[in-house]
Amino acid sequence: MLQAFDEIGRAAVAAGTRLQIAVYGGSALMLASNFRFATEDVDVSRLEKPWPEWLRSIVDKLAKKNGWAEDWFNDGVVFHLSALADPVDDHLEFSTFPRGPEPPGLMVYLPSAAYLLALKLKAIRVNDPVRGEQERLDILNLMRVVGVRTAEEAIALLARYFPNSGASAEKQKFLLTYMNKDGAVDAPEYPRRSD
Amino acid sequence: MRPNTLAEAIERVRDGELQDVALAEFIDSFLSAETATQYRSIEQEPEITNDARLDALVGAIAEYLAKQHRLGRVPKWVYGKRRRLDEPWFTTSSTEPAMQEYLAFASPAEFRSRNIFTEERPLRRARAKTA
Repeated sequence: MLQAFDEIGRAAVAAGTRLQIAVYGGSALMLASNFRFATEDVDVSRLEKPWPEWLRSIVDKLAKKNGWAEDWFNDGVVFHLSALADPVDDHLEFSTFPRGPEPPGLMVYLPSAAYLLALKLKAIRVNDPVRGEQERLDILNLMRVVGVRTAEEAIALLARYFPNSGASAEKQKFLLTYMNKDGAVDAPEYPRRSD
Repeated sequence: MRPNTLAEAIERVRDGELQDVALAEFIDSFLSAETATQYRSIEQEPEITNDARLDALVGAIAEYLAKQHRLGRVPKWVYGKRRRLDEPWFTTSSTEPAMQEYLAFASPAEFRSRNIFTEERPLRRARAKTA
């Protein structure tokens, strides 16, 4: 993924522009945590429509080159984001691309651990038959990172970003109370301290 | 590339790919496909594996997706004997009786009928369908 970002950054520079994106979900955890190593596609913040030709071209090229799905770089997650999340306070700069001495063309931001946890609590897919276990572990690890220890504290965090969900969070309270609490890593980090 | 069919996803699992990754990627393919393609993606029966839970789960997934997305038909293979578990499976690592009671109540019929007890809206993916 980092190499793909390098190439997008170079394409932006070649087009005489600079792209700023935030990366969410499993991609964010894979980029910056020490507890998630596999991910699927890249879920990013809203992209202008239609995409500029240089971006469409490089994303298609990377899909073909790597055997990825056509929509591997996708802003479909925007629908789930919080209008209350602050672009500055609730996000952190991850890196610029390409890495190294070349001029940057892509700036990548990540949601804060608290905001990412709120997004996962809103969906609360901990019992899903396909990805439930991964979601449960992500939530447990993020709770440790943020310092949230109880279901009540988690729901207060959820309400900070999603007041309507927080106001009727009976499902979250139940699942957080009764889900298996084992399996988190000993010292989860997001972002990793070395980043 | 993502698997384009459920049968292909199971083939990948049999070849060593992680089950949750292969199935999640198939669901992404299904959700981004046109309606006509969606049925074709579940029409072919996946190979039977040595994992009874997986064999039942793919039957539930195919029937559930077909009905949720109103494809107008459900492939007959989903009703096969191997697509149902003899023993209940609660899709949680929690041993709390309350959690099992909740899943027994919440599980959609396509899962419950196969002895699979899961959340009320399984197979949700973060992405919305994009044009």
